[in-house]
Formats: sequence, structure tokens, C-alpha cells
Amino acid sequence: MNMKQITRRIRFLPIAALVLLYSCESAETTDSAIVESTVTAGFVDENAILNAQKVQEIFYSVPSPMEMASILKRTGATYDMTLLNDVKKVHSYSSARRQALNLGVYGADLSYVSVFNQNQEAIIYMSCTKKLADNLGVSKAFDDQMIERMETNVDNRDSLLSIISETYYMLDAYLKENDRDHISAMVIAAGWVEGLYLATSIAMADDDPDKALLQRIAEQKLSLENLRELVRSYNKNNQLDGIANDLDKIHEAYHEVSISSEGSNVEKLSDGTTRIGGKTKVEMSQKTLEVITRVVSEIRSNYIS
Amino acid sequence: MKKIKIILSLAGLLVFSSGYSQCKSFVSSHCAEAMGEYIPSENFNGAKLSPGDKAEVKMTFYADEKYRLLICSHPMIGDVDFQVLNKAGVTLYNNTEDKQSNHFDFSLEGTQELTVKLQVSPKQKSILNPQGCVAIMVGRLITP
Repeated sequence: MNMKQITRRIRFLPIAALVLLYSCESAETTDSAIVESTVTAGFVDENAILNAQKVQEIFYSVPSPMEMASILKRTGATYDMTLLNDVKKVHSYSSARRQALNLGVYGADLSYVSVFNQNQEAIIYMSCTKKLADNLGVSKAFDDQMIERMETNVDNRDSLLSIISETYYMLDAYLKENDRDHISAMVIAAGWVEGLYLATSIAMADDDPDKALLQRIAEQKLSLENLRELVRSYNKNNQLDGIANDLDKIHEAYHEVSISSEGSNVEKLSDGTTRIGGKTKVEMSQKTLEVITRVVSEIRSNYIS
Repeated sequence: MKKIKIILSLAGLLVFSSGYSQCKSFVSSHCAEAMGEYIPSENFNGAKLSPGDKAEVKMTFYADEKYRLLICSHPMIGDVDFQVLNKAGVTLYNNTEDKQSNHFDFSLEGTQELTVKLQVSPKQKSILNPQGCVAIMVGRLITP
């Protein structure tokens, strides 16, 4: 390729890039694709683009508190509002750390009340989370119509659950995209702790707790590892040291829990979905449950105080 | 020639700086519908990727829940290949063997930690390096 051809090819690059960029943005601000041209000292280096080191993103994710609330409901647990964080406390959380932690705690409580069809309470808890989000300066993450949508769908549990999940998903996205991923990690960690607090409190209050509930509590050992990785990955300025220490304590409490899995086999079902086989064997003693319950309760008390 | 260099530099700078614009709104407008009746998890796992880029997410999936794993990506970057692997590294699903499906509906006999690995197909690599949002979404069917 001679210099003239190169010049001809690159002449239109900036125009093409700008047209593509602004046509996306002007057509719809939600369309986030762009065309990125690599320019080195004014020259387009085609080889640099094609041979560039590619991005490798690694995410860690934990099941939402709603999943824990769902298992509580399925095992026939009785709804107990005394376990929840008092909504009146929302005004007492003044530091960003407390606000973020209790955004997670109230979010898990919100899932719990919604799964148990306590729909009016769900709206109150959603208002609490909105208040904390406002105080944290992340109210943009919330849909302005969200409370109204909840009120409109107050008798439809599935719609409520969908609105709650969507709200927290968008909050998480907003935090991560605005360099506040440490706040996101606090919300996720505190939500996970609150979900486990509710489950262990309910299990301990029952003389003969449901085996599926005990199994799910024990299986949190797996989620805990993902959560610790998540916290580590966002702890760039040591802002999450306290949370990391809390999770270390829970990790220690889970030390005696053993989980083993059989090899997975895969089966296509008639409804088009896939069943991944392989049982998981879990062992957790009553004593270990008591230790986990105590440690989680202490950490949770610290978060909501 | 000098003028072209300056224009190119400015355009490159402008476009590059816009590369960090919001992925959130793309997901909101383009991905929610594809989840159907599945309630999405509350963790956002998304990033701007280009052809050839890779991403992975590790997550625990519970026994007997019904899940939808959805890879929602901007059409401009082309196909996204993804695989689901168990902890031993065994591939349980590969969308390149399933007509390049963007989702995988599944349930598990036992609770497991699974890893989702994806790569934006390098086929779209070009001098114009397209970059678009890719979100890894997990939804769960709510039982009564």
C-alpha cells in the first residue's frame, strides 16, 4: 500500500468515526456502542489495533438476597418482621459507609417482605432505600417512577419482585460505571450478610429447622468465596478493609462446613431447558450453625447500629 | 498531511473519551425484554468490549432453581461466543454449538459454582475498532 492509498483510506476515518458515534448518541442516548480509532502520534497503526493485547474482564457475582428469601418462603418459614432493620433508623445513617451498608440491608429486607407478600411494607422499605440512595448522591440510579410503579403493582407480587430487582440492578450498574464500585461492593456484601442473618435467625428459632433451609445456609460457603473475591477486587484504596475482615470472620465460622459435588452430566429436557446433573453433599453440624449465626448476627448488628 | 494528522488525533481523542459512556442505559433498553419471565439478579456485570476481548464471571447457582443466563451485547461488535464450565473446568454448555444462542436456560440437581466465559468474536476486528456493551445477566424464575 503506497502513501497515497494510505492517505486516501485514513482521510475518511475521523468522519466515519464521528458520524457513527453521534448517530448512535443522537438516535438514542441509550445506544452505547462506539467506534474507536487508535491514533498514535497522528498515524493510524492498523497492526497495533489487530495485534493489541485484548481486554480480559473478570467479574465476581453473588446470588441476590431475594434467592435466600425465596427459600425461606418455600420451606414454610413464618414471616417475622421483628428480624428486620427498623425503617425509622434510616435517618440516623449519616456516613457514606453506613448509608451504603444499610442500602444493602434494607434491600435484603425489601426482598424478604416482598417474597412474603407484605406489599405495603415493601413500599415503605423501598422508600427507605430511595432515601439512602438520595443521601449517597446516587438518586439518578433510581427510576423516578419506581415508587409509583410499586404502588400500581402492589397486589402483584411478581411485578413487585421484578421492580425491586430491576431497581437494585440499575443501582449496581450506576455505581460501577461511576467509579463507585467500592460502594457497590458494600451494598452487595451487606445485602448478603442480611440475607444470611434472616436465614440463620429463622433456622435457629425452629426446634426442627427445614433441611433445605439448613442446606442453603451451608451452601453460602460457596457464595462467600465469590463475595470475598468481589470485595478484594474493588478494595483498591483499602476502603473495604472492614468488610473484608468481616467476611474473613464468616469464612472462619464456615470452616467446618464441608461441601462436595459429584461430576456434572448434562441433559436436554423436553421444555428446551437443560438439566445439569450432579448432586452436592453438604455437612454442617448444629454447633457450626450456632457459630455462624452468632458471627453473622454480630456483624449485622454493627452494620445497622 | 499535517492537517489530516491533527484531525485524526482530535477525532481519536474525542471518540476514545466517549468510550466510557454508560453501559447501564443500553442494558435497560435492550436487554430487559430478553429476560422474559426471569427476574434478573441484582449484580451488574457488564463492560465495553471489542472484538477479541474476553470476560468471565464466577457465580454460585442453587439446586432446583430455574435460571436464564443471557449474554446481551451490542450488535455492532458482532457475535459473542460463550461457554459455561463447572468447577473442574468441564464445559457444560457452548453457544457455538447451539446456533450462537444468546441465552442458556438451565437448572441444577445440586448447587454448584459455575464459570461463564465469553469472547467477542475476533471476526469483526478491523481498523475501526468497534466497541460495545456486553452484559452477562442471570435471571431466575420465581416460584409461587
